[in-house]
Amino acid sequence: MAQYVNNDEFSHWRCDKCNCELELKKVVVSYLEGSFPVDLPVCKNCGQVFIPESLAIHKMLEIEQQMEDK
Amino acid sequence: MDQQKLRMLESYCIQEEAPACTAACPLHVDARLMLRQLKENDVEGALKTYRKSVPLPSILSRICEAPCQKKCRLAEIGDGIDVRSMELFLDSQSDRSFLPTRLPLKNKKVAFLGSGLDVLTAAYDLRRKGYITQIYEPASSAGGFLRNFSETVLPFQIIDDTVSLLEKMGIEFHFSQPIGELLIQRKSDSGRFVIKEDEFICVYISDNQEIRTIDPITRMTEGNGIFGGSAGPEFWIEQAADGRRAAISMDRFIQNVSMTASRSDEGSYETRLFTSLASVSPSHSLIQNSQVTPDEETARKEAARCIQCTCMECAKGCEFIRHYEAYPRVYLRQVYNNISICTGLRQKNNMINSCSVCGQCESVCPNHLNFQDVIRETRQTMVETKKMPPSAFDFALRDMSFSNSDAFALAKSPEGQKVCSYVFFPGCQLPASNPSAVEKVYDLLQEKFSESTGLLLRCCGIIADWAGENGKFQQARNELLQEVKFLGNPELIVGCPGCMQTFRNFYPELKIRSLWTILDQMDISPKQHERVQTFAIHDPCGARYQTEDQDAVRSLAGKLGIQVEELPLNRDNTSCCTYGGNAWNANRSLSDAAVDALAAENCHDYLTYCAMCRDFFLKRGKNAYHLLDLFFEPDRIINAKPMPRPDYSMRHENRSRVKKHLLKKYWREEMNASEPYEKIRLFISEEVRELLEERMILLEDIQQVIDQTLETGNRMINTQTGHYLAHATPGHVTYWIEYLPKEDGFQIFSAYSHRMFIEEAN
Repeated sequence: MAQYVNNDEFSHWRCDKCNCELELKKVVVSYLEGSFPVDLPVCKNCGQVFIPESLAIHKMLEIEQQMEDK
Repeated sequence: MDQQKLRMLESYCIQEEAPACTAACPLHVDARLMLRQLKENDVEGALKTYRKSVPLPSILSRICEAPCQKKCRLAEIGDGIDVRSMELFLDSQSDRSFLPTRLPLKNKKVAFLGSGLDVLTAAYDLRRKGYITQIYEPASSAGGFLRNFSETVLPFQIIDDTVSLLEKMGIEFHFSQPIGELLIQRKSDSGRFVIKEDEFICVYISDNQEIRTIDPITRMTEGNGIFGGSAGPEFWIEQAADGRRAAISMDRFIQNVSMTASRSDEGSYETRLFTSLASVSPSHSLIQNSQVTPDEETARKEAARCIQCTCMECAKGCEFIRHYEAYPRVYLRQVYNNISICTGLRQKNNMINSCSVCGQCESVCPNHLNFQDVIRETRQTMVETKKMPPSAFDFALRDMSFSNSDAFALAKSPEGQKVCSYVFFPGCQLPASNPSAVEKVYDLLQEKFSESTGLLLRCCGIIADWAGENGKFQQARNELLQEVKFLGNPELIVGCPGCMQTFRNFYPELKIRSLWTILDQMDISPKQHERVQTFAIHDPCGARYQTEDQDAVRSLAGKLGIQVEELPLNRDNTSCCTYGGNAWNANRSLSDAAVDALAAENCHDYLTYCAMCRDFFLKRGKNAYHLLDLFFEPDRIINAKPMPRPDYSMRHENRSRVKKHLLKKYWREEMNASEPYEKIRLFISEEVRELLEERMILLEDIQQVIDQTLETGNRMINTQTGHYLAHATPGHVTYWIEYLPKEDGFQIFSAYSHRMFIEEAN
């Protein structure tokens, strides 16, 4: 399972709704005809996912582009 | 596109055709490469190139009549390159004992009668192919008429050295063999020729008077297996080429394959390669005496005069063609392969989506290869087969949806009239760029056409066509036609060259007229300024082939007191700003490079008549005006005050503003209520606004995320800064917004997005 987020990238973020810390957990992400599990920070209580900016604009974009050319 | 169409289109692109020198050379020496190598001081490489085509370099470099020099394009404006002198230099630098590679001998024999240049060439070629090669010569030495040259031109020693080299290659010479006394018999069973008790599969007879009919292509006589040529040729290089033809034929004869198939490229011919001499200065040969071997420096300087003939007309104005470092013939094949892939990566998707489909390459191509329609059709196929990358044109298509939504779209006859004779159609991006100019044009048209001009606001649909979305294009087209019908089929007065082009190409039923010809026909008193005001005029790609509009714009500029300078590629050959084809959406770095290259062509501010051209120039720091900017604000002609460049969000806002203002002014109507989220007030610094522009995130995207968060309460909080982070997926894209409440609205600190879908628990 891929892990793209380090602890220090989300340790200062909390779920505002639940006032709860985040923890790395398996989340399924999908695009076009592919889906795969990734370890992402989520709220321990409600499961709300946190995608850090650096992940979105680098690795996720790269994977999106690769999948688009398949 | 099927294979047949691919090959037909490929044949239009003549970039791979041989340069004039190579085509003129009966042996097809790649003189262009050879001269480049020489210029770059690669003598060994140049020698290799020469030897690749020429069998007997020491002889031919001295006596070749150099048809290449006569056909050299430089000869049209000065002196052609003295290629033969370069060859003479190369031969002087060569190891004359060099033996070419040869196939191992096979048990197949060929015989030659005579030993002139044709024979030596053919024997050389056939020995290299592995044939046992024997030469019978009546004289006591080889060379025939070659020995008639003076010692200063072709010393005997050179001939003798060449012959001894051929002997080292394994060619057997039999001298003092009177040909008349040689008894050639043909065996009735095997068809082999018997000479002096030796058997040969075929023979070549040089200068045999009895040979009346030699086929010019195969060099075979009426006698099957007997080949021949003339010993005293008009041109020596032709004689060598005849020998080479004969060698090819003898090889084919022995292998029992077609003697005539695929031989059209042998010998000299006229090339189809086009090379413009427009920017080439005439130059003169540095070779004083072509019988004397030049020194290295002279040879290199003469070689450096070569202009390396190439076509590449289409690359001159097109960053796309330059960027992928090839030319349409190559791109056609890549496009074809890309759409034919069953599994694996489609590596050319981005290339296909980066073309502006503007038609410049077709216009400047000597054969008018229509590449843009290949790209358009390919994109349609990609959409139909669900292989179009969703991100490629999504932003542009959303912009088109906006233009055709209630936020902008409008079809109105003048108040109190059910139908109208004229309707103003400004397009979508002119109102996005300069809303007040659109309002002023409408005022002017109302005045001119006695208030019989209606208003039609929407997108012509070209965005969808460019994206390969034929279904969406047809829908936009039908909607527009419905609106025109509803207005009583008025004539459209069109303010956008791109829309004009779309209407001409895809809406044959519409009556259309360009705004420029109307404005030019108006009674405008010409202005004069204290100083001459010069602008470089940039024709938008939509105005290609529209001479009337191109002229009207120049005439109007003149009336405004503007002196225009033409760009190197203008009018029908003009370059696209990359808004065309939605190329800017698919490949922003290429788009920027294209605009930069275009902007660098002239130091003056640019004057154009397409809103997107203007804004693309402004975005890259080149001051540019739309003709209407100066028409309604002539002060800018003098003070050169730049126009504001609206960002993507402002382009939406401006369009809605045009609709709102004109509805109120001419119909006393209020615009329909907007979406509730649009009332959310945002505070955004200039820096963040630039980030949003870069990431193509609109204010309405942010408003939707915040609106949704206010409802669900789903958000993260940064324990260090106190900023909130919310996300939502209003369409296909998930947006993340970092914000804080401020006054009656929200301050935005950052925003980013992704297209991947996250399967969240809640």
